[in-house]
Amino acid sequence: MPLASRGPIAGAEGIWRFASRFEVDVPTSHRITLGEGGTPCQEHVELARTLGLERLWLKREDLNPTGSHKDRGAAFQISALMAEAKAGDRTPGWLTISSSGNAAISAATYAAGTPLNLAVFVAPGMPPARLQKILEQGAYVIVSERAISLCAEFAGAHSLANLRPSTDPLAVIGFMSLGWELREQASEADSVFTFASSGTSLVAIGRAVEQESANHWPFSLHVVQGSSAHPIAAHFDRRMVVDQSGEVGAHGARKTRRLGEAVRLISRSSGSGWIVTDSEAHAASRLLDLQGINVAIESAASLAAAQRAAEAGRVRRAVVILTGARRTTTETTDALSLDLVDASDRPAGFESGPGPPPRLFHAESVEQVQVALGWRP
Amino acid sequence: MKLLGMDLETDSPSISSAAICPACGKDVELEQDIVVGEILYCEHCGVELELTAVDPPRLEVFEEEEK
Repeated sequence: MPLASRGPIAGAEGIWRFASRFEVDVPTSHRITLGEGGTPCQEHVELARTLGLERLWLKREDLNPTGSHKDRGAAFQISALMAEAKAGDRTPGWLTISSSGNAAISAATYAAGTPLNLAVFVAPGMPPARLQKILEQGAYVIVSERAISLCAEFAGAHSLANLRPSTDPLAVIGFMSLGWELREQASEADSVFTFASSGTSLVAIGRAVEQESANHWPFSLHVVQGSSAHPIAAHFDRRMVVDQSGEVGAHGARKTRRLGEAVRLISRSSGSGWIVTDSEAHAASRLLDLQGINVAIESAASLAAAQRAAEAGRVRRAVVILTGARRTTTETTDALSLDLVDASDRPAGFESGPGPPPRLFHAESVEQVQVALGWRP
Repeated sequence: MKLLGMDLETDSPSISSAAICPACGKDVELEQDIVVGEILYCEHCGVELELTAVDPPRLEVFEEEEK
């Protein structure tokens, strides 16, 4: 759904309810939304009993417009960049992002209703169904063996914003709305569990809560990661469950710039980290299915972590953040099979040919990206 | 949990507060609560560094994972 169909919001809804708390001011006229944020935090009595908890709430971030909490960051990032361009009387141009996950889908969806063009840099193994969602939103896709560094190089060479959440401070600001909502909704909880890849949203939750709580944490913060990549959780969970082919967090980073802050926030909250195996996550997923809740395996892993924490006597009243909706089977198993256009072979005047110009390219250098996007040298 | 500033289990004091930048050879000051795996910048040459050990502290040039 293009943003233009909704237009700027008149009041304060979703993440924009917290507009006065954001470090970067975005005028009302530039706040874009698809209804992200303001997600329910639902109590589940039977599930709590099954898991050995006194009480359990599920924070339904999977109900965000594109099915993940990444919408919070994307809505804020793109709104802030639009406002910045307007303030500088500059014509909005291009944005970039490197992501093979939900962040790319969010960015493409939120950029779709704006004058901004978006170039998404992805690794060759990205599932085609996910890729198709990005293309449907009108974004350009660059497939590269070094998607992250090529995106950074291209953005740096042309002074473009790079929306990658793990490196963009604006993403953290948008995610802080989740922390403020939890402060309101989790007042009876003693703990919050969330899956993390780079830890950006976790850091945002921590910053938001500390900002509001004057060094008195209302709940302990727990990070959940899978057996294939667990740079943050490994500082707390000493289980040797390394499985390079693990499904939970399979696309997760093994190194993250958010590590230090994430570990310190968790420690100050008296929380912990949990490395969850695929079998533990699948068992939790089946429990959620019985409740009619179909979420990604990473969200189910957070539920499994809460169960382990309850069994260890660490928590009694938990909030589990369901960070993303379940994707289709095809999407999670297929390898990239869409036809790619090799940017180095793109002829002059290419875009004037019959039919819509292609927006899916293979490129490995800044120059090839420029050609792919139709930029003249 | 082991931090450079102290071991939270034993509350032992830090051993060092600086390490050598492998790119430029100058000292990089380390915060007391820095953790293994943390990414930081060398203020002398601007290179991104990863703390790979705390006792003694060791820095390596950070390499982005392409995932």
